[in-house]
Amino acid sequence: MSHPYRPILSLQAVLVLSLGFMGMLALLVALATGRVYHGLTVQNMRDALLNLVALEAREALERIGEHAFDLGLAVQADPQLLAAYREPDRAAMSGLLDQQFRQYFVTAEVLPLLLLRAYTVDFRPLAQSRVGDVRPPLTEPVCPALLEQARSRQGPARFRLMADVCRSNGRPVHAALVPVGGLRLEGYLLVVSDPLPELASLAQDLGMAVNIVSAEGRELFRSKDWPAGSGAVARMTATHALRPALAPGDGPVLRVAVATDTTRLEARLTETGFAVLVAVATVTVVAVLVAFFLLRKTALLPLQALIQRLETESVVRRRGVPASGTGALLAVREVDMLHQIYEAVEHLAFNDHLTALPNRMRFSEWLERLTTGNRRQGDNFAVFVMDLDRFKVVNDSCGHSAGDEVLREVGERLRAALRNDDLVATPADDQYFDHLLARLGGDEFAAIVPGIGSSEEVAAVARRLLAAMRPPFEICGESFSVGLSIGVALFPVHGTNASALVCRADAAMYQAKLDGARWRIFDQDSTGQALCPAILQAPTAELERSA
Amino acid sequence: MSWLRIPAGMWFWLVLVLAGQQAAAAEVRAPDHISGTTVVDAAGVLDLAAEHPDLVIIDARMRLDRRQGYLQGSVSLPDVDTDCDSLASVIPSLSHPVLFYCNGIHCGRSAVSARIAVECGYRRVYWFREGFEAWQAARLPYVKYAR
Repeated sequence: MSHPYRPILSLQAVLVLSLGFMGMLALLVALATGRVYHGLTVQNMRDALLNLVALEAREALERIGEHAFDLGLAVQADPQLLAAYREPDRAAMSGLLDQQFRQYFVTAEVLPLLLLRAYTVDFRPLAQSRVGDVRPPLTEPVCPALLEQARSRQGPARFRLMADVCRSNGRPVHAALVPVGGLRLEGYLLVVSDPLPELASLAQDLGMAVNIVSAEGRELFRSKDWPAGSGAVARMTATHALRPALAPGDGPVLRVAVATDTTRLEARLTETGFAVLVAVATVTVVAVLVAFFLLRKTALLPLQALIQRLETESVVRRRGVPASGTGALLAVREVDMLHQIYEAVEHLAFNDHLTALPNRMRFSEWLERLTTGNRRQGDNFAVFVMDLDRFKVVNDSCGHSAGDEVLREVGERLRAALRNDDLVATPADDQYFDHLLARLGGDEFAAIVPGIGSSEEVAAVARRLLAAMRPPFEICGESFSVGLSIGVALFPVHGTNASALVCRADAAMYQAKLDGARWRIFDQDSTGQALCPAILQAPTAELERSA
Repeated sequence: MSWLRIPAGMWFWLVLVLAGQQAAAAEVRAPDHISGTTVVDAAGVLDLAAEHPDLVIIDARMRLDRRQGYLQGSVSLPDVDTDCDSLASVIPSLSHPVLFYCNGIHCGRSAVSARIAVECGYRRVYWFREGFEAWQAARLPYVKYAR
């Protein structure tokens, strides 16, 4: 298969390329989605860890509160203490508290007690007992916000336990205000303890490394497995700032950080991402293959079969396909070929293949276009119908191939005669308004010449045509003189539709043959109505008017 | 014996009713209200105690239950020992305010005792329906480490 043009890509190649490109896009989207999923998972994990720490810290504080409440209940079980509250007896109270403090401090390890302080019902400090570095004067409130809040309560609410964390002398403490007296309020017992051990127990509860630092950044607790630096193990840390519930504006009391090993999570994420990618790749490949085979079966193969069929019928070759496709940036072979085949078939359908002039079909179509649609006023033209005289002689004496030769030359001469610049005044904006020479069949030719409205102009064209025919035709060693009879009808004077114009031009031509005149313009009186009876009926009024 | 055949839909309802009775038997729940008594909650108990310093509080639980703690000043009188005589021994008069409680809404003892008290003619019977569990949940003080 040799073609006169060079195809750049076949349709199949284009199909494979675009499907492959789509597949690549799908893979890229999957990859990007995987990254987003990874990020989201890590973010969710961090949020969950943060929530977990906050929850566990709150629960640890609640446990401390529970222990403090328990201690408070135990303390007020002593009738002497209740009596000291009722008096109130400061000295007795002080001794009782010291006693309670030691007793509880030694025996119980659940609550790292720092301070016990007794208050009256109206929050006057009675006595206190303490240990370690928490040594506030009796008059100095330990957690002012807690006492403030407790003082503002009314009615049964005053019986409720209140607890909070705060900073005292720069260290974090837990303070619980336990009401004393079951049904009749006798006073309060403030239980101040160290929250660190309970918070540090998060390490066991969560199975994670825990680090606790003070608000100033001083390290208060560090579990043994707390990561020293950025090691090889993937870690995720979450830090919860513990703030006083009753005075959040005071800033964090301390910060609890937990670290968890995320090596397994990372590994699982990578594994999942890979699995998703493999799945997407498989699905994409299958989809691309299915799409390719379907398109191949439904579009590509039938198209190629059609082209092959047309090529074997040699439609394309006879026409001589022009090399129009080579200049295109992206010429697809099959589409290009189809286009050329279409052009060839169209040429065959609308052109006379002996003279290469337009045939009757093209002539009628042209005339139809000129007489219908948006014509401008004054766009007049003439229809010339021409018939050869003495053509039969050529056929008879030299054979049909000689006749064909003469017809070809007649075509060329008439074409040359019409291609005269001063004859054709073509309006630039009207693509149809150009002269047209056609071979209607046999020895009959026709022409549409624009810009002609008077018989003088018709005469000029007719004389040119006749002059072109004057030189004899030299064929098979003989010289033949072939004559031409011309009939002319003018648009719109002699008719406004195609069939009327052709019929009247025909009538004029027969008149010319009868007269022996070489050419004639249609004339109602001389050509008579008998030749075109059917067409004359309708446009008579219009004829009169335009005449 | 076609008259013995029960439609399939009936079996469904039968099973449902039987299962429902089983479930109800498994859970004891105190009534919402007992006529002749006033229901109070934990805060109501404190208000009542403030209003009536001589309020008699009767713990209707078994004595063993008092080990986990009890309301200050309460008298232990289990519902099984409650009758007009035993009530008269702890309550000065029929017009004296008296409060009954037990563990909570799944404990029927205080309800039983309160009903007996109403039947015996006590006119100011208060019933702490939610009981000791609610008291503890509210973090209110009680007697635990009695010596």
